[in-house]
Amino acid sequence: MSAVPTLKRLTATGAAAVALAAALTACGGGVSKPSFVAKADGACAAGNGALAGVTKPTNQPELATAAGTIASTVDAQAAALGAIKAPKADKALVAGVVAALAAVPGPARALQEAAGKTDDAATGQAASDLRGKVDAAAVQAKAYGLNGCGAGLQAPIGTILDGGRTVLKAAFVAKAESLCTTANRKADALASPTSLATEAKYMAAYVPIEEKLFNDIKALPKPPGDESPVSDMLAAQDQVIAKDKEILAAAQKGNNSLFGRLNDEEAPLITAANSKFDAYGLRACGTLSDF
Amino acid sequence: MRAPVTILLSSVALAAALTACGGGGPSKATFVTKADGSCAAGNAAIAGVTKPTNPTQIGAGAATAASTIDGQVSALRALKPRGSDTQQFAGVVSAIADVSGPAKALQDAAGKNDDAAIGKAAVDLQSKVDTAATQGQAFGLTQCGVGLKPAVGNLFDGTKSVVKAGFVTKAEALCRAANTKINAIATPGSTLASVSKYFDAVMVISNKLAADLKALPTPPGDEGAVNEFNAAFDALNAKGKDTAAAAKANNAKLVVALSDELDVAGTALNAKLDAYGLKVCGTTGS
Repeated sequence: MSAVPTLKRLTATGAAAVALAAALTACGGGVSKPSFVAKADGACAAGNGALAGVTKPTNQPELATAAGTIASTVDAQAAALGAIKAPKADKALVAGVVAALAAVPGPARALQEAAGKTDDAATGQAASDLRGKVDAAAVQAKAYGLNGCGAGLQAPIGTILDGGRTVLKAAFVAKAESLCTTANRKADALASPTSLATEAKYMAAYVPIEEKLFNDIKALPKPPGDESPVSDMLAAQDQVIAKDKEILAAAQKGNNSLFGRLNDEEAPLITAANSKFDAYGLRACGTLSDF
Repeated sequence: MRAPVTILLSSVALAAALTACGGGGPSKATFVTKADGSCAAGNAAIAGVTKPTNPTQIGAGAATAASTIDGQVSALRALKPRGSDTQQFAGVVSAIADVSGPAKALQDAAGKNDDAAIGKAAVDLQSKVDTAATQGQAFGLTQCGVGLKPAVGNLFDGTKSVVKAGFVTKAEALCRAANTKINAIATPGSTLASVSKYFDAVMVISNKLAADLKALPTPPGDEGAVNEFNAAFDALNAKGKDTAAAAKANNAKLVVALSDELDVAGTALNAKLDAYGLKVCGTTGS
């Protein structure tokens, strides 16, 4: 036996030992990552299933109950996940996932409370917060390789929040339509103008009704997720109001040609605003309104 | 004894590398540079076409595009790619060659002032350019095929504006004529019979107007907007038909409810027509 084969064997053994050590380091020592992920996702599965079974809420009490279920379920998931031994090298990452998950029950409880009090503004705020926290938890969990924990919350909680959005939209529509119906009555009660002078009088009374109405609508809590269409239609109406003020000024100055031109300019603005209110379900504020 | 093994391994690696590179011919990078170099001037020539504002200018622009593309294709066919790239490159050249056909069709249609054919050729041109760009990009080219897309931008935008201007003029004329006819119909009185009579007369004009608007050649790229207001017009006419039927059936309650629906449908249609620049058809003409 020469020394060479022995050296070779030794080298081979050393290389194997180094490879094993490297593999162990890669796995973080103790628990392997795949094993942890499987265990963790398994621990979250039942909770996700329970949330998926929650019926889409159609009113505030149902939304409050659903939010309560979210809070208790995700609390349990975070506790279960925290109790699973993570790979040594991944401890900080896993702690981040657990923390992101543990941040979900807070806005869920706020939603439960706000919906329980039928506080639309707080309900909308809590719903937006909850969606944000759920998305953040999903991103963190997915980045680590988890599919059930965090990521699995998005679909069932999304369905519940969609229900909440519908509930809040219905409340918004009911309140706005009621405001518009009242304002329409006030505008209808104004004496119809018969001359430029009476136009000035009419517009002087009409514009404050119009302005108050749309300020009141602006003050209503916007349904979460509908910020853009609501802002859009209110911005379109702002253009109409601005034109009405110009028309009022023209009438007050007795400038008939300007009055006529401004009315022509206003017509498509009214159509554009009305079509947006109609499309959102606010017909009494849109085509069927006086504004 | 180790040296020969190293040499053998190096030979194997070289062979593998050659196989991976497709073997023979210039490297792909060199070829791509050469090909793109031969397309650059043509793309610049097409991009230099002034945005057309009338059919004559569209025809001239399209002729420039067609002849330039033909030239690019001839130049590209003279290049020899590596063996393994031959088929893919032939696909790129073929896709670029396909652009020439609709460019010539656009030239022809513009020469005849045929808005419908101009619109169709422009849409075909855009589609073929998109395909050529996709194929060129997949091959790694940045000029051939790919550069055609921005280059035909002026020609396409100008063509769209010219066809749209023709569309708007024709549509507004149709609407003006229809509005005059509708305004000549006696306003309904307080009886359902008079409402029924009014709607019968109005619906004939309104249905014809909707059909006439649909028959106008759609400006290329505006298919979505035009289809949307045509659909809104159909919805309005459907409500009008329902209202006429309710009046005929002497159902006053339904007529009142449907008149609100009719107003809302009218607003939706007018908003779309206004947004497209059809003022006489939209709010102003109502």
